[in-house]
Amino acid sequence: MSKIKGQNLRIFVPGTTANSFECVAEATSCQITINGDTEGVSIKDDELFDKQQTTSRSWSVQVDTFDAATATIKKYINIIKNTTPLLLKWDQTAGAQNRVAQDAAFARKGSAYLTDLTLTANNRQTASLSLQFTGTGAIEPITTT
Amino acid sequence: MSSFATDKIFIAAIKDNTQLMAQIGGRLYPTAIPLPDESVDNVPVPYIIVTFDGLTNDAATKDDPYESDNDVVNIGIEITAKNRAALAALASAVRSTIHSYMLEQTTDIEDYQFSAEAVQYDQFKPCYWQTLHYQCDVQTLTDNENEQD
Repeated sequence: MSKIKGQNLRIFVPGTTANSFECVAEATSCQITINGDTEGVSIKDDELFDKQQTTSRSWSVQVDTFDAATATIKKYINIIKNTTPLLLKWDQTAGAQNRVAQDAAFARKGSAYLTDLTLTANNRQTASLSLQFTGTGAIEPITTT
Repeated sequence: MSSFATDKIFIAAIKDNTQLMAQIGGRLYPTAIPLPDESVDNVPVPYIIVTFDGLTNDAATKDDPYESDNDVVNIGIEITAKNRAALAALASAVRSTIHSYMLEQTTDIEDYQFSAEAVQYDQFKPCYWQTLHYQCDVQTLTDNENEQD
């Protein structure tokens, strides 16, 4: 069973045409977090150990990039002003510029809001862009069309 | 321009100075003198060899982990001359030439650090030689957009 290298797991955001995706360029790292929330339902009969039951799941995605492309920065600034979520996916990549989606078994897509955008520009360093997406609703497997 | 071609910038800088090129009789070599070992000692001095001594990338991304927008490239300039006085004059001319070229031309080299080795003597040729080391901050700020899948 092969392992995945970090550079081959990437995030995709909506492309310019309908139902298309584009890979977030010049990414340096990404982090996908899925959390489960529970509530305690212990009663006196349970003695020492707490009992929990699941209530909900939430997920978020963070991407850090060295994206110096001004048009892409402008695109994200416009997205964060939107009040509608975008469709986002993560997938294994290969091919040209390591951006071609492989529709891997672990790949997923879901709706998310771009909730945080941080643009850092230090003297004599490449400007970096950090994006935080907060998921809304379910994540689903990628289906090959 | 690829960071792996940074030595070409230094070669262009030295070639741009026609007076310096005349001083070395056009003997400017990339990486090594292109002759068999037994003929190298017969190459007249002075001459200059520009070498590509290594690269580390400071800003590698998932698009290209081997070459990034911000690489540190090491370039060596080996200067060989007949005697110490000639070597000193030639080394000074090379330093000035590189500095002027970087100021006047637009290249991907944003900044550089510089050091020099001690002057050495080759008793077999005979000649004196010194290597200058340039550590360059190469920034290739190509407009790299998200692309359609």
